[in-house]
Parts: sequence; structure tokens; C-alpha cells
Amino acid sequence: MNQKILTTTGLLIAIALLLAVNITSDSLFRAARLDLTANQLYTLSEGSKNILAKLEEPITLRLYLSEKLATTLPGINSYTVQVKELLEEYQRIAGDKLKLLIMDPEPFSEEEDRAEGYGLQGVPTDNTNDTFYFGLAGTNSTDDQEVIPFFSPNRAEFLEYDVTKLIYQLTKPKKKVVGIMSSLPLQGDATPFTQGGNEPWMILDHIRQLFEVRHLETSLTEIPKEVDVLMLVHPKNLSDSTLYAIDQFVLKGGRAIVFVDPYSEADQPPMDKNNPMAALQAPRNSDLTKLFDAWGIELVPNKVVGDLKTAQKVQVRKGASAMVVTYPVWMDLSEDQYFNKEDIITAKLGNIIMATPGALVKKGEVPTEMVPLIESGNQAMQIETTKLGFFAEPDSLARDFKPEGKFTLAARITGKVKTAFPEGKPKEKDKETDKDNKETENQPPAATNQPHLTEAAEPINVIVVADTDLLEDKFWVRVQNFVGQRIALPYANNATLVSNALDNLSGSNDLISVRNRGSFARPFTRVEAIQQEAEQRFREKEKELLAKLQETDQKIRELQTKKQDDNKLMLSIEQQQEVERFRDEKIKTRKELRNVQHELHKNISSLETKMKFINIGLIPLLIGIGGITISFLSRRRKLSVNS
Amino acid sequence: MRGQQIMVLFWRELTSYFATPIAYVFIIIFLFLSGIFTFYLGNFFARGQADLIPFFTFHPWLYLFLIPALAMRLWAEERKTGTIELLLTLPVTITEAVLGKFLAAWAFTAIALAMTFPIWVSVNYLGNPDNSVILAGYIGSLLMAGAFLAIGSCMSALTKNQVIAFVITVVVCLAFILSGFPLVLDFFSGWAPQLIVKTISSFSFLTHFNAIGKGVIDLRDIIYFFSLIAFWLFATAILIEMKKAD
Repeated sequence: MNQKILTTTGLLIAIALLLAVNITSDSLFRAARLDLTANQLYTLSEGSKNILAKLEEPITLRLYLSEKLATTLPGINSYTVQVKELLEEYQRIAGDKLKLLIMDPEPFSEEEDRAEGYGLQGVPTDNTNDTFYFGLAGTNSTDDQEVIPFFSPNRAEFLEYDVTKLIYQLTKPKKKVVGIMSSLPLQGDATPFTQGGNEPWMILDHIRQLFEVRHLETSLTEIPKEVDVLMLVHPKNLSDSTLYAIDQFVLKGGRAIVFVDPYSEADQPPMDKNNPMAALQAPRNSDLTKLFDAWGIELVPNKVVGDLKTAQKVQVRKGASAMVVTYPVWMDLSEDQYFNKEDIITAKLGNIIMATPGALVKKGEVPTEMVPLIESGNQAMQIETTKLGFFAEPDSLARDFKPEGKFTLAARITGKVKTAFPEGKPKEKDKETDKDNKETENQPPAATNQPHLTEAAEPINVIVVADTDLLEDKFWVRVQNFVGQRIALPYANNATLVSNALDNLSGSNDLISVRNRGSFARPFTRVEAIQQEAEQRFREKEKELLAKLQETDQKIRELQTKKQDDNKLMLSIEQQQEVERFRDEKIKTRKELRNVQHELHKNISSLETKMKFINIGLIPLLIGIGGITISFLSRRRKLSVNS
Repeated sequence: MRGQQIMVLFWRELTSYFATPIAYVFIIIFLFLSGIFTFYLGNFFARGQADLIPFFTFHPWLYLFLIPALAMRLWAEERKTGTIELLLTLPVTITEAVLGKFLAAWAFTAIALAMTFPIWVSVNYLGNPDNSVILAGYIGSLLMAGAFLAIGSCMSALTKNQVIAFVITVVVCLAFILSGFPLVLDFFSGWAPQLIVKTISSFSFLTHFNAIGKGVIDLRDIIYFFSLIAFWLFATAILIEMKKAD
């Protein structure tokens, strides 16, 4: 009896201990964990920590989470825990500067109204009429507010970026300044030859919604201090002084996005009435060779990239008639493979339309890294710019197409660079100042108001896009005039690409470093390789067989017409046999083509079968055989010992 | 508690597994089922993703039936055949015996788990998986197997009948697997305070196993599994002590 009491108390104490250990450890060891994932997916990155360390004004984060409903949603429940713990981690690092409130907006409560007031999105759950809230509202001391309307598990890999960005935006609520230097008529133009002048490009409207825009002259000698991001569009014939200004701006840590183009459709040289041909033949390219050399990249000159797979159809006028041709240099890039899925700028882009883009390549021994953001497919080709323009034959591009490989159409350049002007500020080549030249030469270069930088103090961060046409309205947006209002109806994500890039570049280095470290897809590379190879083989065979089929068809038709020509009512037996034979061949060829198609999947499925056999059958079989052998041997040993 | 005694018992138990066909049958069935689940239910190949999520997802359910089968004989058999008395006359304490037997069974499941290495080779052949996440998955799976075994050990000490031990173990393990799900939570959420409901939902094998499987070894998950193992082994020892007196 005594012992029973003892054991029961022992068990009760053990249960209490079990609960106690787990409840205390739950609150005690929040940060004690080892993140084994390859890109440290579940650890707060240095960038976020730095931003938190720099907080000056207190920030309040309100997490609205319907806890009771969350427990009934197993799919989302674990994500709520992850989000909550991440936010707690933010608070742990920020200390007093960050206040985290976890709110449970019960249905029809004041909290629910407030959550709605912040613009959070409630999601109705199926079994009850209750709304499930799972969003974040952040406010700062001056009552600015930023929200994440709903934490979608689909965006789990961007969770840290989203939260850090929200905090960052609360610390610096001022709009960033984008300095736009363009030799294309972004602001609309006042060219006397166009009737009534052109409207400003929609892309400008789009940028203005998010940033403050300053237009910079292409002849300036210093980038204004307030400019956060420099957007350089189609830099053409820039003077050394202007290039020097850009060079120094970038070396000082200024962010820049450069749109260059080996052939810009929008670059319309002014018509000269006396010599209209000159304008038609004028080069339409732009480049930044001097600076690109310093950054270790090159825009392949006089060549544009084309790809049949993404080619758009365009209508061209040939003589008097219009016809539709496949135009490989106008590309609608709409698949994941064209975009860098690891970079926040391009990770979630749907489609981008580019026209006559150039190719970017790494050049020289500069210690920079060129990370492709947008790439062509691997069956693309470089086409001479001479084949474009007024006198070109657009239909010849698709006809003469030969796949060459993959090309980089846009890239991020990072790394430490040296100046493109090692001998200091270039001298002004102004004729008026020629007289004073001697005097200015005597002055040391330090007399200019800015000190000369020979090397970047911090790694530069520049984005180069080898196309300017993607900014032009006709490639991404339909504009509707509605009661004097211009309404943009985009059909490509070109503007998103630009705003993503500006957003990303205008953020702090820390924010940029909190880029997507996400659990991006890890595909079966071997299966993909087999697929590609099989597809290529299939295409070749298909071409061959189609030609044969056409030939056969042709022959049958010939015989048929012959019959009419001969004006005979009946076919000769010979002819009949011929027709029969051709028909058979046609059927056979069709079947062969189907077989090839069938073959396409054969290799993959045989790989799958092999995998299944090894994993499900082979190893258990081996173990079974091993077990039987061992027991057989030990029995024999026993027998021999016995005898 | 003497390590040497535990080791002696551990080796005796472990080698005894391989002296009978039990070991081979268990491993073969485990491998066969995990392969079937991974490829057919988990769509491992059609997913085209180089990770072992479809493999690990089914471990709790595989263990739910296989581990009780392994654990049911731990004490029930000894009791039925009377060898338990022999065991207890040996110079080992009950705690040492419980630990030695448990560790042997755990090591055996570790061997079975290690035999799944072809799937790891396969996934590395097909693509470039994050191998440290896979390692974490294996650690989580092993810890979970330990918890299942500890429960099984206790249930086996409860009865002389192996079938009863098996059935009770399955039921208790199922409760632990599902404790984070509405099925179990609804039972409590009506009347119990939120803290209790939360604690119960935090006692789910699945949540802790999935947390480790993501690739994050959290101290709390480790503590959870080890405290659970310790608790059930302690209960085993108490039960044997009690029954000895009967």
C-alpha cells in the first residue's frame, strides 16, 4: 500500500516536472538554436540587426493575430509561431526602441475595428463566420504608419525583408530623391517637328508616385547632394566632366541604375530637312564605356540579343501590303527562368518586355561581381544592329536565326572599384576659359569643392539594364485618356522592375543585404538536363520527319493533279499503287513522330523507375538476403560445434 | 547507475535483435513502406524538388505502427516468460535495465533509419539538396523515434500481453502526434483555459518534428523530446518496481 502511494506521487511529480521543464524552456531558450539551413534562413541577418541598432525614435509594432482561429488552421499555425518569434527576436535586439504588442482581434471587438482601420486584411475561415487576422501595423513617434496587411506563408522567404523594410520605412519616412539624367524624351518633348509635342512617359508618372524626381542635365559637372539614386537613361556622348561626376557619385557610395542600349527604338535623332537620310542612319546606341571599364563590365557593342522562343509578333509593311512577322529582338520574357529568383528585384516579376536589348559581359580584371538579374533563354542569338532600322528586313531575323546561347540583359554590379579618372578631375574644355587655363592649372585639384576619390570606400551597388526601350510606353502599358486623366493599364511588369530597383537601391546597404535569402527552388538538375536534351533531339527529328511528310504529301498531290491533267477518269493501277504507297508512308511517318514524342518521356520515367527500384526494392532485398545468409552461417557453425 | 552495466545490457539486447528474424523483418518493412510512401504518396519524383520533405513527412505515421511493434516485447515478453526475474537477479538496478533496453531499441531504430541512406544518395544524384537540412531531418526523426519508444517501453511494462501493449502504445502515440490538431484541441478548447490548450498543442510530435525538419535545431525541441523520453522511462521504472512487488 505504502509503495503504491509512493509510486503514484512519483508519477505525479514526474508529470509536473515534465510540464514545468517544457513551459519554462519555452520562454527561456528562445534564441538558443542552431540554424543549419544553407542560407541561414531562420536567423536574423546582420543587415536587420544594424538597422535596429540605428533606431533613434521608438517604434511600435502591433501584430494582429487571431490566436484561437490560428490553432484550428494547422497549415498556418506553424507560420504564426515563426512570425511571432521573429518579431520577438527583433524586439530582443532592439530593446526599448521597439515595442511589440500582440493583439488578438476578437470578432466584433474594438481591436478588430482598429485592425481594419490600419488596413489589415482579414481572411474569412470556412467553418465559422469569424475573420482571421494575421498582419502587422507599425507606427512611429510622428504617427506615420506602415502595414503588412497579411502574412502570407507564400511570402515566407521574404518575411525578414518585409519586416525590416517596414521598420526602415518608419525610421526614415521622407521620400527618396531620384535624379534622372536622360537623353531620351522621358518628360515628353518639345521637338518642333512632332505635332503638339509628346506626352511624358508613363514610367515617369510611376516613379513620381514613390519618389521625388529631379531632372538632371546631361551636361552637369556634379550630381546634386540630395540625390539618393541616380537613374541614367541612354547616356550618349557625355562629356568627361559629366562622366567624372557620375564616377565620383558612385565611388562615394551613391547608388545608380543605368539603362544603356546598343539600339534604342526611342532614340530618334532630329530630322534634318536637307538630309533626311542622315537621321535615319544615325547611330541609336548609348554606352558608358569609360565607367563600365572601371566597373569591369562591357556592353557588347553593335549587337542586340534576339530569341525566337520569346519573340513577339509585329506587323510590318512590305511594299503595299502589311504582314505579321516573328521579331526575335522584341522579347516578352514571361517565365521564371529569365529572372534571378534570388534577387528581391526580380524574384517575383511576372513578365518583362524588352526590345533590342544588348548583352552585358564581364570584362577585365576588376574585382567586381556581376550578378545577372535578367537573362535571355539559352537559345538566344546576337544580331548585328545593322540588320535593324529603316532599311532592314524584319522577317529575315527569324529566318536566319541560329541559337548561340544565353545572354545577360540586366545585372547588378557590386564590389570595390577604382575611379575611371585616376589622374583626377578632367579639365574643362570650355573655349571661354581657355585664356584662364594657365591660372587654373596652377591651382591644385583640391581647390575644387569636392575631394577626389580614387577608390570606392565601400563596395558599389549599381544596376545596369542593357535596354532603354523597356521604359517606353508602347512596350509595357496602354494609356487610356479618361476625362483628361491618363490611366495606365500595364500589360508587362517593366515599371515594377524599375520601382523595385529604385526601392532597393534607395534603401540602406543594410536593407539591401536583407535580400531574399529564401528557400528558393532546388530542382532536380539531372531530370532537367535529360528533359532539355530529349527536347532538342525531338525537335531535330521532328524537323526531319515533317520535311519527309511534306515531301510525301507533295507527291500525292502531284499524282492527283496528273490524273486531272491526263484527263483520265481512272487511275492506272501503277498510279493507284503509288498513291497507296505514299499514304502508307504518311501514316508511318506520323506514327514515327508520335514515337519520338513518346521517347521524350521515356528516359525520365526509366530514371524514376530505377530510383523507385533501388529505394523500395533493392535495399530491403539485400538486407533480407544478408539476414538469411547470416542465420544460415551461424546455424552451420552451431551444427559443426555440436558434432 | 553504472555505465558499464548499462553497456553490457545494451549489447546483449542489441545482438539479440539480430539473432532472430525480427530485426530483418522490421528493417525490411520499414524501408519498403518508407519507400512506397515517399514515392507514391509523397510524389517524390513528380515534385522535382531536391529535398527529402516527402520522405520525412511520413515518418510519424510509419513510427506510429512500427515502433509499438518493436517496443511491445521490451518488458511484456520478459514478464510473460518469467525471464524478468532472472534479469532482476542479475547485478543491475531497474533503472539500468530500463535504460539499457531502451538504448538498445533506440540504437536499433537508428540502424533502420541509417539504412534509408539510398534516398539521400538519390536526392543528391538528382539535384543539389541542402544536406544540412536533411541531416536535421534525420536528427528530428531519430529523436521522435526515441519518444515513441519510451512510450512503448512504458506500455509494455504495464501488461504481460504484447498485443494489448501494442494497441495502447498506438493510441497514446496517436494522441501525441495529433495533440496540435483540432481533433484533439477541440476536446479541450471548450472548457480548458487558453494556457492549457496552448500547452497541449505545443506537445505535438508533429510540431516539434517539423520544426527540426526545417533545418533549425532549437534547444526547446531537443529538451521536449529528451524530457519526454526521460518521463516515460521513469514511469517504466516505477511500473516495473510496482509490479515486482505484486
